[in-house]
Amino acid sequence: MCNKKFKPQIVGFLCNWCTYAAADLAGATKQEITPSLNVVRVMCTSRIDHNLLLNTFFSGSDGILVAG
Amino acid sequence: MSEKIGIYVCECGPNIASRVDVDRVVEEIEKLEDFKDKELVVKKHKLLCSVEGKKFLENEINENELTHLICAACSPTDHDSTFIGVCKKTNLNPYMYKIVNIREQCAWIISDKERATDKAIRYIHSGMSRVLYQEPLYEKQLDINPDVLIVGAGIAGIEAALTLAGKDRKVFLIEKTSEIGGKSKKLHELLQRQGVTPANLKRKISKVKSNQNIYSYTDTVLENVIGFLGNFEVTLKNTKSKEQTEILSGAVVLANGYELFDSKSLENFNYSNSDNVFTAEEAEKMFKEDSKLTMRNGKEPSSVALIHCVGRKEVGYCSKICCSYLQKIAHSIYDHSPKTEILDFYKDMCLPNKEDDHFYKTLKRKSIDFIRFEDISLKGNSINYTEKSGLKKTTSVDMVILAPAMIPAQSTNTLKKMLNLELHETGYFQEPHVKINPVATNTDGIFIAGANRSPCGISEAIIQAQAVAGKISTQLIPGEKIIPEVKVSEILEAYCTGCKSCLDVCKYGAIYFDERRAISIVNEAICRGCGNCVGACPSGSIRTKHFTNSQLYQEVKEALRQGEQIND
Repeated sequence: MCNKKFKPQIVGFLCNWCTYAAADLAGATKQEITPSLNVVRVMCTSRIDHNLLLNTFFSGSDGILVAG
Repeated sequence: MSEKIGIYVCECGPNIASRVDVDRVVEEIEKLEDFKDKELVVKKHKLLCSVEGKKFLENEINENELTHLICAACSPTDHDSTFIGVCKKTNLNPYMYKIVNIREQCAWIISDKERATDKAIRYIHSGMSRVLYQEPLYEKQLDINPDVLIVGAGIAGIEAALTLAGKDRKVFLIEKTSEIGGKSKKLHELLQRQGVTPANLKRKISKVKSNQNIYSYTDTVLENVIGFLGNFEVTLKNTKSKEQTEILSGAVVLANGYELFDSKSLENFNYSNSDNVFTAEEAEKMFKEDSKLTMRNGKEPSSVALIHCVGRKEVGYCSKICCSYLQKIAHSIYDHSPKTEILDFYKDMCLPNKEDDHFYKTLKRKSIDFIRFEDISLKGNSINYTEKSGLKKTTSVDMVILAPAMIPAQSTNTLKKMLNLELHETGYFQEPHVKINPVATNTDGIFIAGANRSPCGISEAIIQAQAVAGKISTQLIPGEKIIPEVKVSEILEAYCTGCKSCLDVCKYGAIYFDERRAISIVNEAICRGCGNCVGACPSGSIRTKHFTNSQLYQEVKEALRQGEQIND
């Protein structure tokens, strides 16, 4: 058994125009956000296809947040 | 050529430096195993976006002959363009650079300095992996046509035409009816305190006719428009002679106005053409022709009812101007024959302009009966109504004047389809942002003004027309070129199966289908690089430059690989 606390690695695909701006705002207002969220900026979340999602899981992501 | 990556970590004054250990970042990035075979230049700087910082960056790029550049600093929203500007001064292609956000996404959201530093390193590392997969992109310059096409010669169209026409700019003003002037031309008088009188309007119309840079086309509709900001090819069609005219313009202004709700379609409004029930528009006409109201039998009415909000509930929005124009009509009636009994049936009195209150107060002094109704129905000239208090009453008057709601013109829907625009749920044109970007549309170079975007009065229509003229004058400067977006989609011909999925999802209408080769093609001048088509393409033949699959995979992969090492 592993004693380490499970820390899920999450990839967040954020839209440049809305959610990335919101993430910036969260930063500017100094909200505490877990370091295990890895933000990847895209111009629009409509660009995310199943290929990118599956590859993200294959790369070891425990969860994916697509927000836009 | 071997790769040489420059990594510059900005301290952002105390903003980053106080919460991320910048020295450790520099140290660990220099030691990265993955980049052993690459040359790295890793440095920190107090404030990269300052004048001194930009100079420093420019010198570094030139002296070290960097092939790739990483700026670990703030959000791309803040200074991406600043650093792109620096790259443009050097030999480094601006698309071989990437900003890594270690301020908003690291320093400011993680209070633990160690963990924030780890994350900053991770982000920079994944940025480095990504930047190696980036490709140089080159901007194109396109000639522009500064001329403007205006659809609709109502007050908004006229104002936009007069503001835009000049020595270097022609204006094509098209109107589907046989004369220019629109609905405002039919009005008997305008609220005088608003500073616009019919004489003023007439002067504007004659100015349009005499202006050598304005080309008016009456009885003409839009047949087809293709192109993009700066280069539209437009086909016009004369509705009478069916003759087609081709023109070129740089921008299109839609000022096709509104129509009125058909009050006869309401169940509780039963009246026929022989009853003395008129719309406000018809009443205006009577005043314009003989300065008084006349019933069907040729006599003047001794009592008049004005009914607000006809169709308000059905359309679902307030038409904004009816309360004030009915008051204008009440004034006209009173001024002509003060003995006429006037009943004003209103539901909500909407007086949004600073002039309106004055009119309302003077009318009240003239003992006009204001009745607030909850429900109202008509049977010829007899009115059944429920007062706000719940009291049911019946009254009969000589004449009824209705204020029907303003509704979108039928042409709005035709234009929407032709130009691939979006409509609001009410059927009016949808602006990109109702407050921040009110006269634009989702297509660059196409603008909206007047009552086609929302019910509005003359003064507002004029303000919007002038706003549109301002936008066009700054976007289409005669003699200057425009640089279209570089990070656009491209379709790999060999893989395209011609399924047309991308055509359906493109909100900008940037993709067209080449029937001969049976493949889709992106018009790079219109494409904004959202990547909607990439997600929809079943054959994977579309890629968005600067956001390709391999670039995103690298970024994701690296962030995750390093992420696993965090133990706590």
